[in-house]
Amino acid sequence: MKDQRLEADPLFLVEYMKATVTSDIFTVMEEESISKTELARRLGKSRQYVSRILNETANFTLDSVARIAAALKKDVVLRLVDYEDEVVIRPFIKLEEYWLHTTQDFKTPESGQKDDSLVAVPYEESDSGYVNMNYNDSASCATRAGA
Amino acid sequence: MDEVELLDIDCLEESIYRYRRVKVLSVGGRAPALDSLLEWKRSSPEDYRGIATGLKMMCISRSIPKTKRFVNCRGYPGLIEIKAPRKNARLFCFIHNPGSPSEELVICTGSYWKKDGEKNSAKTRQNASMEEASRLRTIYLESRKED
Repeated sequence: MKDQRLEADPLFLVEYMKATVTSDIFTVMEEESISKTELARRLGKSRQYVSRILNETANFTLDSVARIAAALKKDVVLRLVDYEDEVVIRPFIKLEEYWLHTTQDFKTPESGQKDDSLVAVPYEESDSGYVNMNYNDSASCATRAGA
Repeated sequence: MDEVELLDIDCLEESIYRYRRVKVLSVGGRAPALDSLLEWKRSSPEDYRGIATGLKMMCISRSIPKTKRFVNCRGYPGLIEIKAPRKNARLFCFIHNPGSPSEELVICTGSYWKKDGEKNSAKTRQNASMEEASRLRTIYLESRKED
């Protein structure tokens, strides 16, 4: 019988890897204030190429991922794991307080254009107030510490 | 009063539920998000993979990953649109108990299908879909208060 899980589909794995790498690239760029122009300069590529990466329309190869990682001064981990193995993405959080937000402002330091559908706002569960995710507060992430 | 239930999505493995679990909201026996997922799985695997990738990313990441796959629904605080990049499928969801040390739930409420070539009526249809997803969210939150 065919394995029905998503991870058994190579096309899903490709999509997922591309999505997570792209998310990591954007996170590093934002955390370290690296603009699209700057990353393009480091890669020796055009700014449009970097945009295609962030839009997930670029064709990733191991070579291109490695070059981007090196340009961002990051290592890359590509491992084969069992389906049951725990895999957790730990973001590059440097800020003490981190708003759990659900959308992304793709405005990098040197890009002037802002897509009004992509405005970063704090996540709020209800109209009554915001929920602040402070990951240095052990009480707010008690179940996560050992994950 | 309509019965409010949370249903599982069978395509998602138990092992991916690190920081959040994914559920589908059913109100009065109707679960529009689940209907859409099943339809996409059958008729549009690429869209289905794109949405499933977004759901998996939300589950195994501590914060909501920075990617264009997740967009806040302007005018509907707390409602998130999950996009399949370069594809037409859109899934609406919200996070229940964000920041909770016990369990966060990603609750899918509805969907939207962006038709190719559609310009003028797309926004109207999308707004209607968001409105409906928001209405279902309100019904769910009200039912939780009663509990």
